[in-house]
Amino acid sequence: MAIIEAKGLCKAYESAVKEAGLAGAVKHLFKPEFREINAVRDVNLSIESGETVAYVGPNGAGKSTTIKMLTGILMPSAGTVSVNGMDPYRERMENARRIGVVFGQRTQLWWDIPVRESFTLIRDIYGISAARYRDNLSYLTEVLGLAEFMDMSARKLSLGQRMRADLAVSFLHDPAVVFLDEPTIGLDVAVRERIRAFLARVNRERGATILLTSHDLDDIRDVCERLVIIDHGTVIYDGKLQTLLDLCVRTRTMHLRLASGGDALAAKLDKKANLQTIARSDCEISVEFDRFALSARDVAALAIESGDVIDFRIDEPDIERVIKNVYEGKLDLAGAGK
Amino acid sequence: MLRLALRKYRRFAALAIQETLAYRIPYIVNMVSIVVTYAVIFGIWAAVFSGKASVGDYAWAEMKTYLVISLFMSALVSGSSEYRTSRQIRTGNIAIELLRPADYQLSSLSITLGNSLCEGVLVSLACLAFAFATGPGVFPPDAISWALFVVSCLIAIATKFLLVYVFGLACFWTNSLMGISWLRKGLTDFFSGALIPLAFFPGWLMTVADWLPFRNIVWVPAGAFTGRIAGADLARSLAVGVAWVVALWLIARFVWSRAMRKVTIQGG
Amino acid sequence: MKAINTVWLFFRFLSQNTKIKLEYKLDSFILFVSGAALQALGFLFIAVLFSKVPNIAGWTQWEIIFMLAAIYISEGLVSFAFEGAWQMAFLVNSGEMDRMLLRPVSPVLQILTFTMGIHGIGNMALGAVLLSLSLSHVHVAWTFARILFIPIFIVSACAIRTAISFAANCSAFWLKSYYNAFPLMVYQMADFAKYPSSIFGKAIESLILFVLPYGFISYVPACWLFGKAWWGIFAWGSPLVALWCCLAARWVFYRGLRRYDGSGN
Repeated sequence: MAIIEAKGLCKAYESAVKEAGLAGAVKHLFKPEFREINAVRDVNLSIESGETVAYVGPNGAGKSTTIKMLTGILMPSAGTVSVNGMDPYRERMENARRIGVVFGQRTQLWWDIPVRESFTLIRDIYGISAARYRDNLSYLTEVLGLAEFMDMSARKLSLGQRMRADLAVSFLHDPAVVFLDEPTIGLDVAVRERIRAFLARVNRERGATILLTSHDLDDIRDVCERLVIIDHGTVIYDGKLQTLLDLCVRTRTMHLRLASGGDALAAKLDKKANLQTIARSDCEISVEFDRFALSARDVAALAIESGDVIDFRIDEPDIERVIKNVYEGKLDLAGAGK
Repeated sequence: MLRLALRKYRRFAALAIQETLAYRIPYIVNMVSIVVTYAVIFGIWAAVFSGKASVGDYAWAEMKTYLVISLFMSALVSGSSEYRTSRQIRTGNIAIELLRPADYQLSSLSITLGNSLCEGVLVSLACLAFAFATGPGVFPPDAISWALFVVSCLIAIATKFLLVYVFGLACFWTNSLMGISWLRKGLTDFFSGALIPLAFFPGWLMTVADWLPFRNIVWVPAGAFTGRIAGADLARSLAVGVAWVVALWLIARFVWSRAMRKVTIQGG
Repeated sequence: MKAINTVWLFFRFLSQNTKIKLEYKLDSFILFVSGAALQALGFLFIAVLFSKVPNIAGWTQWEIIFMLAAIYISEGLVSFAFEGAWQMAFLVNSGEMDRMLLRPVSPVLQILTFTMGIHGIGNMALGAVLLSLSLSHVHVAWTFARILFIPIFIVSACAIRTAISFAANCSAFWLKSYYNAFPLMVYQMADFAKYPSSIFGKAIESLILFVLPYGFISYVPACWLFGKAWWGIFAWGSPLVALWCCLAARWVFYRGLRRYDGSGN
């Protein structure tokens, strides 16, 4: 049985409709009008224990709403949810014992006390035995490098440190499922990598099921095998990440900076198969290439030997653009498996 | 330059009214709460006066009028400006607020006046209702007295705003504004004469009250209205009231500058 | 087992919060002073009033001060141990409530212990002083029952106060504003219980006896202790009233929670 099972999940809100300005505000006072918003529409999700799933979508797509229903904060308008075999809303406290949640924007730590004491409070709240606490704490301290700030109070931590501490807090009680909502937002590259490594490791070694929302493609790629895309409240893709990338992100773009001779180089490159210049000027050209046919190294080597290249950079495929393309129908997902 | 500034602050005031109306239920509830306080005070005084022609040298008619004026003055200038400041500090928004190209003190006043305009209309209606329900009172005899009453009201509003503001600045040093605001409210209610006319105070306490700004909030306007304070006395009281407004403004600016030096942004 | 655990966690949170608050010496001091000043002003108000008037509706100064003291003691306890209730508007609107819902501990407990006020001890102490003073100034026919009654009604008083305060703060689920005046208004209603409600008329009297049972904190006990009315004996019902209030508050909370939709998009 799947550890997370959602069928026909829906959530509708009432939103006040109000005209702008003072007149509108007064009118709303006497005759309020509401409009129904469907944040989540008929979402089906089935996640097995130990899976790592990325749950992505543009802002306002319904991600947070879905997560809130899965964690028991929100009651669904329709549909059923089962996490760890329980209805997370009806048995919220019992379910809370078995899940961990990390919010990128808000911390689980107590603000005014040392991190170490936040941990002991968590230990007492979750009723973790002394032995298990010791073991988990030393494991997490080692993997996340917590020792450097264990005795500082949460308010003094940098964003990266705070996130590491939050991650530790979420895994302290050996949860079966961990939900992460934008855990790497605002963090620098080094910390992001560390967190990704941690998540991959803890999934491997501890078997925790991971559901992750993020806008960062690398987060998804390094940690998750499966990708679920939600937009306007419905699931538009549910399958392997690699499949989607293979299907949708055939090309990559390389931007070359030249000393001169842009037009000449562009003309030369256009003659090559699987290569196309999409922008050109005297000192800069942008080249799009089929990444299955050519590697970045091939293209760079080709450009360097044919022209006066000073510098180049490569655009990373952006999940937002992929989603946008999917939604706009530019990409056909018929071939992608569920 | 001035016109631009005025327009800016007027927009703040309009926004404040909009804000008030957006949260319609809390606004109405706030008004009701003030009326409740006065129901208590009215009840107490009605019980005190029952069966008596006068208490101290107050007749019931004058006492009733006094209480209605007290209600009116207490209801103007709500304490919401201090909650706004405190919330901004707590959430770190104060930084954004301070970066806005408007003098914080002045913009605060504009927003407060905006709120007061809203509340003032409703409160006046409530007071009129109260007054009609409780029978005849004592009124100013001529236009000049009315004018002086209005002046005393303006002084009262300014004093009250400045007191709320100055006490509210304490939020830069302490995280718990509740205590400060209750203390201010308690002191104001007591020493302004809102609960008991200052004339009832024992000598030593009345002297203390005379040296504080609170009396300008209820005692002086009520006295101007009922004629208990008149002529040279009234002129002197109003002058002292204005002096207090100036003093409080300066104190506010001073405390503000100290606060700016101290400002720490909470939360990373 | 779960109940004992909850109680233990309560003291754990309380002591943790106390440690934190003790670091904010200035804050604590200010609250202490303002709390004491407010109570002094309350006492002063009655003293000044009674300097011109011998009694109000048959009640003397110290009898009314007894009622005031009872209110102060119950207030003090809420400030000390259950101050978190007042933060509900913040918790609900900032989404902090999410954090509490995701823990395997009663959210009610977490909310109540979210913060504490050191000054509450000062309030309780002053209230106790006023209470003893008033009892020494009023002629009471002391019996064993009457002596036993004192701690019982004080504990019930504190429970009633907490429950009403908590329930009123649950309005945050319905009124989406950081500045929530509703619980303040309900808190203010306690003013009616500082004085013999017979002077306020039947409507108000019914209000503070049956709707917001503040009357059982001060008025009804005073009626019984000072022999003011035959129905004063109902003061012994205070514990039941307290229990009912707690259950009602809990019900309000869970209804409000249904409306909660977390913060953010």
